[in-house]
Amino acid sequence: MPETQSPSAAQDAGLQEFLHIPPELLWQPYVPNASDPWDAVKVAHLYRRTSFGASYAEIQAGLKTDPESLVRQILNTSRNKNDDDAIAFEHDTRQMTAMALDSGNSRELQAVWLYRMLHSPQPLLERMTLFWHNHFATSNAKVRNLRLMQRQQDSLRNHALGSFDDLMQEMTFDPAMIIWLDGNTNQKGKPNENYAREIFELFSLGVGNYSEADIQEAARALTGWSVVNDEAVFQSPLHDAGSKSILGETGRWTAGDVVRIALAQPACPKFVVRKLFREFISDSLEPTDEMIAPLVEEFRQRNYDIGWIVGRMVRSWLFYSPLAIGQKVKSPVDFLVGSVKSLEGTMSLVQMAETCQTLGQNLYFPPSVKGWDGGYLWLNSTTLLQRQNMAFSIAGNTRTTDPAQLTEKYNIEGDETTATFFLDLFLQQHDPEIVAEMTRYLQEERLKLKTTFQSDSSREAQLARKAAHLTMTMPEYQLS
Amino acid sequence: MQLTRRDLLLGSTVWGCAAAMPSVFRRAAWAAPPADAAGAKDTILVVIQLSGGNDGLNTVIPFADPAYAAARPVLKQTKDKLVSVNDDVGLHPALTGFGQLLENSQLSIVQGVGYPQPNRSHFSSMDIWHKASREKEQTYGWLGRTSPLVGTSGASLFIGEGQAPLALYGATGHPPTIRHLDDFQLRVAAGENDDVRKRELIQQFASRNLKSKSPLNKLVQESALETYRASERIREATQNYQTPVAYPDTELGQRLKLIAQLINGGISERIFYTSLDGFDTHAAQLPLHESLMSTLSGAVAAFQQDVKHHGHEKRVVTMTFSEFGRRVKENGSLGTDHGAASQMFFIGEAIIPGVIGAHPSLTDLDDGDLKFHTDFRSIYATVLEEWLGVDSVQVLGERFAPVKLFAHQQQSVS
Repeated sequence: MPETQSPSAAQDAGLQEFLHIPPELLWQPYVPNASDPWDAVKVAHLYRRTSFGASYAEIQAGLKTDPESLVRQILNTSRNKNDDDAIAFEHDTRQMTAMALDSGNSRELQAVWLYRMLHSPQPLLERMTLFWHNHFATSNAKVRNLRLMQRQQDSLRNHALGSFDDLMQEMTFDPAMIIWLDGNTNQKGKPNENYAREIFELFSLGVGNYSEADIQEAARALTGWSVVNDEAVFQSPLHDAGSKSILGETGRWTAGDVVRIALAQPACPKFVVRKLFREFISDSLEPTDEMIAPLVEEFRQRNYDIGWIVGRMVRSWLFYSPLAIGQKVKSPVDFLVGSVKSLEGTMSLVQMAETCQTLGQNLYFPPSVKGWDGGYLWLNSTTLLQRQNMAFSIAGNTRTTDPAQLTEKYNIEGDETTATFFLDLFLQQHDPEIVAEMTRYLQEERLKLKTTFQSDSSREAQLARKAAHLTMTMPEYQLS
Repeated sequence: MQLTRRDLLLGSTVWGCAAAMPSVFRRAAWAAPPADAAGAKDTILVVIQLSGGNDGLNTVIPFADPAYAAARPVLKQTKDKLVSVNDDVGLHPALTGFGQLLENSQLSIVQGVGYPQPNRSHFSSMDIWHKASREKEQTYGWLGRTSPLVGTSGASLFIGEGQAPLALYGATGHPPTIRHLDDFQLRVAAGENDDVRKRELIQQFASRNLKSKSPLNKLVQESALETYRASERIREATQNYQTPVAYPDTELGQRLKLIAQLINGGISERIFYTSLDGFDTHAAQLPLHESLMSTLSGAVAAFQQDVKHHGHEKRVVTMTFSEFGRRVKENGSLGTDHGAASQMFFIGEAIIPGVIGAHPSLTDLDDGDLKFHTDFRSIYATVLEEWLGVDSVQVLGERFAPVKLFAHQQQSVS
């Protein structure tokens, strides 16, 4: 390939053109240049993927730095367990969590998690915790024990940017997981294959990379673990100590060996990288093996270091290309938390948790062990309409997420400026035609409001809310 | 402007991408076809998916076979409690509504349904039932492939939570999901007020020409537009519905009621799909399964009664399936593990009532599971040809021997 053919040269061509770029170039770090500058679109994109969105001020500040510095700051903050802000935040949320657990109400616990997503000084850590909740999808519908669900979440958070190896080991002996996948009833002589199957099919290898016999043998290796008094307990009389042959390795394997053997399979790093690709790059394109090859082997050599691979992905040229920007559908959490963050507001967290459920993402209750399908499957005619109606209530809420507070804070005056401001805030683009249409609408509404008896500030506030609502109902707003 | 499938399969060659991005809600024209028009059919298919793998052996129970009690020392249902069917099999005691349907000649039990080399993963086996195709490249579901052949009225609706299942996914994407009627209106102003101009602008912004080349962006645009149109149609279809039938207060009951409302409203769709979840009974199966049986039976019986009350009984047939049955021998946790062959139910006035096919042997097993004798694709083929009136080979890719399932098949043979 000639040197002149850098990835960014293809930027203005259709997406099809991008697909011919050699994989190693796709994963090179993005360096801003005149034809591919560091702009608000990219800053907001980075914040959407590594946090839950950004405020107007954060976007402006991000523009003043460079991608490498911003990525490093985001990663380091979320990986630093000794960060003072993080320790203080952890202290506060622990208390909230304890209260929620005492209430026994899953909504309260969901509310605390949403609080974390909105306010954590380590937003990437929260994103990854949610990602792993979807990967090791465990539902309280069956576990029916919020303390164990929370303990699992704490483990997920603890390893969220650490080693996938540690995370797999931890999940294998996680009490909620043992209950969820019937480990409790998996005993010597009467194995229950549920757990073994999902370890291979959904957690580490994917369909086609193991046989039914591997599952039966792995189920035997997993026997003996159950949950007693909320703790994972190993009872050797219930364990099948005989020899098992799993994925070509024969020995008197136990649970830890099942994980070790799975992680040693070439299919494992591929499977995890694919899942991370879907999370960080695009949920609408399925990469080929060649495409992800530059990451797969190194991921395994680095002992499945999640922080490393996330950093590699969000620094890449691919990440800042049209193949990634706007190539995901916002999850309900993205949509709600992102809207509230953009509006620099708050929201009743219990209501937010309820709305997440209505929109299809009931936290702590994924629909199956496969997790939420996500991607364009988040949207159907019902949920899309509900999102639009939710946008109406958020933009019309005069107490907690009032768009009028923003226009006041940033001194936004005039109908055209207001329209442009909200388009930039929510979409980082202001198509002149849209600005013109929206300005005309705001002017007409201004005239109507003048005939009613109200103050200037009340009128301006109403217009700001209308502009915000209109922007949030644009189809692009559903994309991340 | 419509996207072609090629547009949607972005980079299918280079990236080996199989993830089509469909137009989620594009739908056929409104207005049902007149039933008496030449060649026109107005038959309706309702599919109830039993998710998780229903224990068929404890649903239609071969009580007369001693191997049954031997395999199910704890979970067995005794003969005296069963809903009577014939000398060989009886229905689970909670299937009283099904018993009533059977007495009314409205229930058909097709036994021993499955497919070769059964897969015991929920997701893989459900995919097999949904796709009904051996072609690896096939990304559409069997009903998704059926819709365009049925014509303008062939669109389907999914009644439930979340995205419509793969079975309904086709060239026009996923059909709409309907949960309740009342949350199906776009709000633009507080209280009873309206803001006509804002409503127009929302639609206008969703229909403008995009500068972006992203198929996902186009997809969301189309979805939004179609959503606004569909909400208006459904409001019209259900305005004046009343029924004397008391549906059970279960989710399935309410979903089937909604389907009855839509049918009665004259909505053009002829394929309705819903699901009942929770059949993955690995442990403590007895109470769980009983509750599921009761839910299924009660809701379906009420639905059939309602359909008859409104005079649609000749047009509507309901079908149930599950991704697999469960292992013959119960496990050590008072439950059952994933199995293979099982039965399908058909409900309606157009079907041949009673038991179709023998119960699979409880001793001649395939790795501990029941062997199938009727390929589910034969059943699909029969439904396609004899009920929806489309060429089954176009949908299934090959010819499957039909099963005698509908009353008119008997007449035409004799």
